[in-house]
Amino acid sequence: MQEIWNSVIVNYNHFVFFFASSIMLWYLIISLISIREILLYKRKNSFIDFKKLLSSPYTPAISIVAPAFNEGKTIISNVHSLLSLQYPRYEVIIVNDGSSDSTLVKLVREFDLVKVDFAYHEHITTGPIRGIYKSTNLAYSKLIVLDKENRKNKADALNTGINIASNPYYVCCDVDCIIDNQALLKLIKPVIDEEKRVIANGAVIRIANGCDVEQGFLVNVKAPKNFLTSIQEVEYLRSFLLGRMAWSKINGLIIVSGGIGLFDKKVAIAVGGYDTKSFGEDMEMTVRMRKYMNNLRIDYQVKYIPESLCWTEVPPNLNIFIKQRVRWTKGLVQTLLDHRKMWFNSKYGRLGLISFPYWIFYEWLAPLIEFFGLLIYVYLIVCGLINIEYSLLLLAFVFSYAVMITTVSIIWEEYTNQVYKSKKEIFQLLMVVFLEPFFYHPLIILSSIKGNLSLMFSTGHQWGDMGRMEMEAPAQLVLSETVSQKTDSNGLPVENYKLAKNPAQTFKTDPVPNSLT
Amino acid sequence: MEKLYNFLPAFIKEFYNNHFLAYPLIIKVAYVGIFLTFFVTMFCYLLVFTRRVVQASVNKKAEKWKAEIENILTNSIIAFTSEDYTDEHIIEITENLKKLPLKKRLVRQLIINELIFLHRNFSGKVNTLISRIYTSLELQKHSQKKLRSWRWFNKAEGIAELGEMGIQESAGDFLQYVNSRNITLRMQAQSGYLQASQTDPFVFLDYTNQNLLTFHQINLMDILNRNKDIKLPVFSKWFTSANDSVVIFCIRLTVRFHQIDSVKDLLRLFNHPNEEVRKEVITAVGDLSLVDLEQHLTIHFRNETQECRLEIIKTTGKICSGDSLNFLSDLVFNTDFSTRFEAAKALKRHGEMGEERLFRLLETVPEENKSVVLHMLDTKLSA
Repeated sequence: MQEIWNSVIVNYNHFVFFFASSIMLWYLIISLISIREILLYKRKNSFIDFKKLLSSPYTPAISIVAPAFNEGKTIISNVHSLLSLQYPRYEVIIVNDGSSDSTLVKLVREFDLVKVDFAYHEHITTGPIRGIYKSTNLAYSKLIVLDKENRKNKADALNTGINIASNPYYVCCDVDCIIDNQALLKLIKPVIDEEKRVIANGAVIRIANGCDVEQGFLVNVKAPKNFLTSIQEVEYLRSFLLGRMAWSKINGLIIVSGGIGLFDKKVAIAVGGYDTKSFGEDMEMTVRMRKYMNNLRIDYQVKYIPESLCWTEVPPNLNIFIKQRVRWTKGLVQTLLDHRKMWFNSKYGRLGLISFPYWIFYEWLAPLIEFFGLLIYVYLIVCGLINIEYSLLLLAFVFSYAVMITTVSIIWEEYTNQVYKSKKEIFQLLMVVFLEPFFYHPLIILSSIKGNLSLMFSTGHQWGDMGRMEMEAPAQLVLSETVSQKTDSNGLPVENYKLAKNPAQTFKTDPVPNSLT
Repeated sequence: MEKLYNFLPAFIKEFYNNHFLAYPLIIKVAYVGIFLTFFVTMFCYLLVFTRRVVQASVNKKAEKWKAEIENILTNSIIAFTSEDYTDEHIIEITENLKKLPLKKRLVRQLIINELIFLHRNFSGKVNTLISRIYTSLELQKHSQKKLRSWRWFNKAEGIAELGEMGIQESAGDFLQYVNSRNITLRMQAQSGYLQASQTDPFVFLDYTNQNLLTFHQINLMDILNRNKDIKLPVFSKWFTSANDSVVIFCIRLTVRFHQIDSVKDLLRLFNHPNEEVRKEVITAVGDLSLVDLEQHLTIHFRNETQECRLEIIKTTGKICSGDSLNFLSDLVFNTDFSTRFEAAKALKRHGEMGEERLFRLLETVPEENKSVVLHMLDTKLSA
């Protein structure tokens, strides 16, 4: 019996060794492809004057769809920011997802909104609509506010927005994100400058914690000060800048962020919109869109641009962070299982033969394999069956490799975007890299295991509570609103301000996978 | 390898001989891996700190030269916005610029950039003056050198410079790149040729067998908007091109330059096998307000694809002759949402008579179709 057990342990060790080696090799390949692609992107764009798009009647029109749930605190500045983007023809659709605070009241007052007889057609089946509002002020003619019943579901809110979008492309974004002024110009460019049809296009999402933001506009970019947020910034850089660019190159990208992403509306409607039962609706939607195009045998691309076009707040404390990662794991596993027929399926080309195997082994299973590996490692130490010197050497190699890959991503940020003004900030991020494997990586593994277990034993979806997490904010900084039962002449709830200790703030950022991509 | 070994310090040699060689292969790999990753990480650190220093130094130099160049050029050029210049004036400006260290690549490139900037922002005689300064300084030789580079981005840069300055002798060289697989180089070659060729600037369309992408079309249109001197041909000449994207581009140019004489040729394209081309023709009918063709469109409606049908509805809305009111009213009863929405919208564009029709429809259309009529009649939505 002991012999069998020992044989299992030894074989598992070998398996982990080769598995880890394959991940490291893959990261190296991905990094090299990304570096080449980013360089190419920069060179190509040095010939481009995006302002030409501003005056052309042939620039495709875009609809921005931004769901809002209890965003009363910042909604006005965020909408002003969205209305001032540089683009010739676009509309801003704010979907008030049944907010219980003063979000709608504030919007109505600030933008002179009135209820209109909008011809709403359900291309995608959604929850009930309470009303559609347009501004009487011509300055805000681009704005449409759609008020719907809350289904505790961001996907449903997005689908409602798609239903009323009048343009061929839509940009999905979180209303509390800060979008770069030229984001639409940059997102549309691949659509009109590629041979193949581009069905979706994503961009780099950066962390807004620590940055100076005034009235919804980013005034000064600063590196996050909090340790957890700094480490997330490093992770975002590695994932968004170094990972996704390579996937875009091999046309194997299966996630276009919910934080900011441009989509072909026709394809989105044809696949039935976002899946309201999914925990990772953006990833699931991208996979379904790709599957649809593959089934129709239409040549297409899912693109990614290495520019920081969206800034979002990330969880500043452990509790919310773990909740967020658990949800992302659930979304990942759910999407992979829902589309299991695509696994290793040559009908789906690179998607079935490269992307899915990667996500299955390196994103879903890797944390679990690593966890069991750690348990066995401890067992081997206790039993004295391990060569401590060799094992420490191997660990040192893994550590130095991880540090190198992340350092390269920071350097690449410095070469491409150079958003941080001071050397001190870059240095701070470089220091965080050394601590990541010890403090952050275990958290990722823990969240992944928790997410897998939660999905395995969950009886139903509790999206609303999971998806819209709250974080504590300093009491003196913000005013939170509670809604009284009174309504005004428009039938809208009348707000009643009071100082709150824990005002709600949501985190609806894009899933950054456990590892590189 | 032996030489390298001899350079190593004694303690490393000792470690290599007594420990490293005895390790199993995996451990040897780990040791080498640690060494390499450490080296790459340190190199990255070095890059961060040196890059900013080097960048700051280059920027400082560039700013200094840029200020001098701007000073010479703007002062000279502004003087000639109101008065004529002579060859002596050009010699004088050139001599002033030659005092700068033109052998330095940075300085040369800064002058080219500044000349391009001014060329884009001035028209008429000043525009020609800038081109002459460029050639007097023989800067076209440097741009042509870029054209011979094996790197695509150098070629593209060279084309952009020569094209902007209208160096006609180089135009022929650009033609070889108009079908390049590199999209950016292709775009630069097309725009460069359009700017540089003075005899037949659109001849590149004869050679274009690659897709003329929307962004490239936008780029070419922008050049045409900026350079009023470009010789315009009759664009219907390319309506028979085998490249559908060229046909679409030429339809757009026909509309842009209001070449009404091409209507007959446009009419032939109604039967084009490509849906995109037919859609563009329908759009052109609306943009050119070709009232006589409205009836033709409504007859074609039934045989068209959904995309083209929607375009026909939009076009009748643009023409607003009143002849299609019945046609549009019938479409408000359609089962397809987009069709009835666009039909109601086209009726709305007809002004009073359209609105009157919409009010009448409100009483007759089925309940599920009423929403589009109400939408169009809502004054707050049309604001």
